[in-house]
Amino acid sequence: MEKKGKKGKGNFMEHVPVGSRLRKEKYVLEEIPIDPVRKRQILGKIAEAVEEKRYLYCPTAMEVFRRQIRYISGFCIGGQMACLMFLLALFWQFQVQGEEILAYLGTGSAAAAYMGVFLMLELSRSRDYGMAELEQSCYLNVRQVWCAKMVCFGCMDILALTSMVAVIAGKTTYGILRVLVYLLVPFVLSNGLQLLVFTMFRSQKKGYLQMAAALSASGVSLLPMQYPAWYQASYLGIWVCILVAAAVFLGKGIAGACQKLEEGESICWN
Amino acid sequence: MLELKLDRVSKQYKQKMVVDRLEYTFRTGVYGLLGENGAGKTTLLRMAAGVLKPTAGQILCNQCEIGKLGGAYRMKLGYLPQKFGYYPNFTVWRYMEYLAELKAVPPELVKGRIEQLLGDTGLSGVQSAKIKTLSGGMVRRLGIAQSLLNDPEILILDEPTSGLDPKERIRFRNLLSSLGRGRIVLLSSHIVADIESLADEILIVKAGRLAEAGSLQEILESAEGKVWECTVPPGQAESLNRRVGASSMKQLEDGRVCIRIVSEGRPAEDAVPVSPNLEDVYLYQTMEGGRGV
Repeated sequence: MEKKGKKGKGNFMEHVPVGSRLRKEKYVLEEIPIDPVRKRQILGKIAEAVEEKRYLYCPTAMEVFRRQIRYISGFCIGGQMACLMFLLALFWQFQVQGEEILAYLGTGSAAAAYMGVFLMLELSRSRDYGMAELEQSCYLNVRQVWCAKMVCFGCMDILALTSMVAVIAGKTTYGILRVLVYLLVPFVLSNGLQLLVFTMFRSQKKGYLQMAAALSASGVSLLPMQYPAWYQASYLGIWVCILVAAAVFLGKGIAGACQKLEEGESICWN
Repeated sequence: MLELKLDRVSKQYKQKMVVDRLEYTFRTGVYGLLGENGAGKTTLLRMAAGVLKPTAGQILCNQCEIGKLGGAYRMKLGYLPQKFGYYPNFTVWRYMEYLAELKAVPPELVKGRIEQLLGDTGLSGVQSAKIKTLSGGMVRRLGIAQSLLNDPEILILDEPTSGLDPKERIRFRNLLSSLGRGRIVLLSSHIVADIESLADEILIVKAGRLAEAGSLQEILESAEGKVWECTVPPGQAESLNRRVGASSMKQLEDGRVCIRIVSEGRPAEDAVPVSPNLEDVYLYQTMEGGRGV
């Protein structure tokens, strides 16, 4: 290296006055003999150290979603898919056999109310099996894992609701927004109720309670089928008010659950 | 150099103060926490692991509050909770893979790391078995293995040796003694011998406060002159035990009993002071009316 430097400088130095050149040459390093074997050994050790410290990396959001899906329980994802299939079958029946719209809306509402249970069952697994404390200490903590799972299940919910809204609105004079309100009311109310069960109770048998709550919500969602007048435009204001109240209830529930996660006490009560 | 500082950390559950204005600075090394049930060890470790939020005070990692560091702190952390949960239908391998993903271990390193850790903890033979089929000791070893997945700089182990047989405990001690270099290891245990053999510094926790802290030598000095031994007839040994409480009692061949007592003053006329061991210090610090807090 030094040889190269000297050579390079040589041509340039020819034009530099002698006194100045001598001053510059004072700073030229002496040649240091390099032992190639030792150099290889040291570089090898540095590479080893770098390898050792490469245990961590920051996964992208897509990687997190892709991997978390692999660990969702078969029962929960299967149940959610079954709900989706049920809605598609209803849609088919409605299209082919020309069933009454009210029947589709009512049954669709019941299915929408039941859909949320599978997400709650999935979220409660980590707490029910005492894994939450350990998961909370990981880089991707419980909150982030729950977010990933909520997004996955939420996408399926949105798909189901959107297809229902599109079908019903296309075949009736209700309009998209009105149908959306009719379907969102049981969906949001049921989710709020299930979140309440989720945060209040804790045991491995809580799943049954969660499913009972979902079934009750589904049952209540069938009520408007008995009273078709509730779907009239004059009642829309009441539906909107219920939807807003349910959304506030659900929002508060989510905020409360997040707060409990942050404080950690509920996580540690295994 | 890595530093974990407890800055007047408190935790209160309703009216009960579980950890009370605790101050201590951990640097690289193995720290052993000793204390009675309910002394606040687990709560302290949970707060250090970032699972539980202190009611007051803060925990700083290299001068940054761990809550603010968030994922950056958890990346450095390995944690084995006291009550170690698992999904019973997961196989050992799947469980390790799952946690490796939560701990953000690079995918290309996961397989090698799991193989190495299962080998170190003697679980290679059961990697395809479901966790629900494993024995309690094996599950505990799995817990130890998972805590090391991300090669943590801060390792928090809450009662890691509970449920392990003596052979497994020795294996764990050997594993941990090689891990102690270049990282902070916080270890709580009821087994005084484990702490004695592993910890560079020992912390005795009593009623949420530090009763004593220091190296084994310093800790032993705190009970110097407080440990007595005497050989007495069985009847007298019984009455002494009832009166002051014995640290140990040993029946001799001649029928008399050699009794070891931890006490501020000489418990019997013929009692002689002896050198304390860690068990004696633990008893001294945690005994009713002891000088602990």
